[in-house]
Amino acid sequence: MITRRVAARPLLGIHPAIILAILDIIGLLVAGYLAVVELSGRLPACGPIKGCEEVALSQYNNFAGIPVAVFGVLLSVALLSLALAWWKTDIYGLLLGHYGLSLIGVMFDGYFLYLQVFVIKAVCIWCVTYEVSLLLRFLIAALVWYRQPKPEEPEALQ
Amino acid sequence: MSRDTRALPRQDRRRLELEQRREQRRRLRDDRPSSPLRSPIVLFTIGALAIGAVVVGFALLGQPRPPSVDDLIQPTEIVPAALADGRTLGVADAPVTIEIWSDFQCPACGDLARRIEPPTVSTFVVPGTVRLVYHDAAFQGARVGGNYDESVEPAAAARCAADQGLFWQMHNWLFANQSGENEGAYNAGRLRAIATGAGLDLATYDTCMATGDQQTAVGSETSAARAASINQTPTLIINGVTYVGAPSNFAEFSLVIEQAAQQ
Repeated sequence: MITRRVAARPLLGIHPAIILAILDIIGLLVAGYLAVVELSGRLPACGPIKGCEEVALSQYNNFAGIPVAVFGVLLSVALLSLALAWWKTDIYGLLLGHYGLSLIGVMFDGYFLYLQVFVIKAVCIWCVTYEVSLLLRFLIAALVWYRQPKPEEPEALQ
Repeated sequence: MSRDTRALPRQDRRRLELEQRREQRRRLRDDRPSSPLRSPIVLFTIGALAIGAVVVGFALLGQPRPPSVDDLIQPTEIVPAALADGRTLGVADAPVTIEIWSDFQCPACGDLARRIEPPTVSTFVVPGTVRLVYHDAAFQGARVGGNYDESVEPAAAARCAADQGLFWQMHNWLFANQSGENEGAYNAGRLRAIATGAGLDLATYDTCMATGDQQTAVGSETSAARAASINQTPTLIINGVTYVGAPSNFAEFSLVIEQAAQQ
């Protein structure tokens, strides 16, 4: 059933995959910036808002020796691929894949936000931007699924 | 609407009845509400929650412990506490005053603090020949920019320690745990652990660090260093004569001190 093609119901007048892809690109740019800065041994520019440096310098900024931003890049690339593939093929399972993968990301980001607020006691604005973009991607994917005709419904059959 | 099957031959009638029963069973099956557990969205949600829980679980298991004193190197030098007064060490009327312009991140400053200062303290400070005066020239952190400056923050922490009468203990703990530049050796968590090791009251320390006053004071003294053409750390000013860099060995440094004491 999940391999069936289901015509997407437009959101804001466009294919919802385009909205997801735009948010994926925003997430990719944020995570990409953080990953490049951290892998080159520098600190992210925070402007007048404090916190990025403390988060970047904390030992929680690495997972298995790899900066968490690198995982953010990988997640964004995977989500962007799913969004673009769904846009081109309308295969129902790709929307569900985007929904499921963004939910996994939201769970990890919830944990990372907890670390920032309660353990490191500093909040990184770049991380929060990424976390908000990921939460939006999850919520939009859920909303799109809710509005979308289901593969078993006659309206969806192609 | 049912067809009259009586006119059909018996074989065809039998086949038709079978087909009708099969159709009936299909309808019954389709009318039965399907289990929500078979819905793809529910399956994807359960799957994602399970995978997410495993990922977060691994992250929690692999989560590094907050830095503690046990992870730190304990300095071996004993501070002659009776001779300490804020950021100075030694009697006020000592014939030689050594002003040390230093950065807790700079490796040469670490070398000076670990290799040259301890014998200087025992040989010249304790007998009353030398008085050490520590100054901040917190240059290294500015190289990477940002709001958390890993040269300014330990210097501020040392000033907070001075407020508690423990500057030189904090100084020794900081230099004993120097590790790389701008790489997190003096992140906020590790500085707290170092402060604990040095014997500071943590609540007072936290309040002191949070006000930002000491960080401002470090910045002012660093600006004063630049204004006085001190651009390299460590810079030692011995009775007014400037020496740039750490002495290569204690014997050589002893001669400089003895000469200064005789003048």
